Amino acid sequence: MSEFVLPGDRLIPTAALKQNEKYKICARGIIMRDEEPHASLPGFFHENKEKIWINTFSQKYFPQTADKVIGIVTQKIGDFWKVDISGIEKAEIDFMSFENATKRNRPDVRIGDLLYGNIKVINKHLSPVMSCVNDLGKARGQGLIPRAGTIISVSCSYTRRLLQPNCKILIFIEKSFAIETTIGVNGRVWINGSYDDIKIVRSIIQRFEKVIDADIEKVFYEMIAVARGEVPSIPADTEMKQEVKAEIKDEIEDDDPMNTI
Amino acid sequence: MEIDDSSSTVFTSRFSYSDSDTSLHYIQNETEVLCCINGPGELPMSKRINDRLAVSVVYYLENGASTSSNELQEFANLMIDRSSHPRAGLSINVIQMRDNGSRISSALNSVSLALLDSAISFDVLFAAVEVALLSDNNLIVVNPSKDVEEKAVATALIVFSSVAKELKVCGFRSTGIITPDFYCGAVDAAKSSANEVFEYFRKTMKERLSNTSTF
Repeated sequence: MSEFVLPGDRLIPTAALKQNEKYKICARGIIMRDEEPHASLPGFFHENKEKIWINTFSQKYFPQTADKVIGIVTQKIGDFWKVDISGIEKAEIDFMSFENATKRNRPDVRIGDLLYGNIKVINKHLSPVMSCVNDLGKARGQGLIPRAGTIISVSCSYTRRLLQPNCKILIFIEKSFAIETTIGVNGRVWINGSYDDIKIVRSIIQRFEKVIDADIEKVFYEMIAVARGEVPSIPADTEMKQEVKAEIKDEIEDDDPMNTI
Repeated sequence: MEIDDSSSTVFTSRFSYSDSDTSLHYIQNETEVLCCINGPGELPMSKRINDRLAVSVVYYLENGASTSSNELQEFANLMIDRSSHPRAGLSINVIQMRDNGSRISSALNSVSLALLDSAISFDVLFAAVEVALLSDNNLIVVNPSKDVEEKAVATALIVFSSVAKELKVCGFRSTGIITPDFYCGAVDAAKSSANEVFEYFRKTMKERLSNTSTF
């Protein structure tokens, strides 16, 4: 397991750097002090050649460039929209940041709509700028999310865990349900499908945040069995219930006015 | 001066008990504190600071009255990297549930632990320890209870920082008549307790991340 660090700890990468090569700090959590990397967040320290980063747990979203996020449109100001990405400030997206958008062919985006896009520009002195196309002008799955389904909020580190290629949670969900899902690293997950499936998948995703990888399969099948009524959710004393049922049945028969003697 | 280091501090903490962005129920020996952090978030134009994060700390006593929180405000301002979120605001509410001595150090440690959980960038991490000097035998008691504080002739709050796992004294506030010997004795006495606090922070945050499979 990687080393756990607290703010102030000096980070000692094991990989040696070549001459004139510097460390590439990925995301938040590392600051350079006296030309040595130090942690500024609590988390697990990782390295891959010259790249170093810290994995931390965060409920709040701090935007980084190239993050894929789900935003909620809150306001239209002239040629751009203000989008809530659950960060400190609302992001801005221009009408030309959609695939095939032109001045005459503007996208049909309304207040309350969900957008799946990437964060293009981050500057602490300005609002973040969002876009629904990549550098080549192609959407590649980004854009307006269908006006159906539901959206749930989870922690940002959990969404990153869901997006890992070896994450079992989505694999089990896709085997048992026919749903569509979009995951943004800003702690938002959009699910679309039949009403019953959405209800169960929503509770599964919210529950699995606290479940470790080894227990995923067991907890998943238990939740499915409870949701489908195959296993009662509260253990019941079956003998007691049967006695009560029999008494009530006799009383009802005795009280039935249609019974003739 | 003699140092009473016979009893080590007992810590307990519980996270996420409320709807705030970060919430923490922290118990140090028998002093209980709740700490809630909201933010960083957008502020109205009138309250923004153009180049820094605006931090407000409010400290409530058991009866609901708010009390002076100068130490908490100053150390929270120094701990957080305020230049990374200009024009935003952070609100820290500390509510004292039970006071059995060392209340300011418990409050400051709860703020440090809650800020660690909130994933806000730090400049430096602080831990606080209180000591009391008993007159009869020149005994220094670390993390004194309320009874000991009432009998003490002098008390002190010492704040340590941990940079590259080395402890440094960053703050010292005393009440009562003290001597330079008391200062040296108090700092020596508090160092092991400060190490315990940092180790507790490390263990708690590591467990918190492991429980959410963040590796």
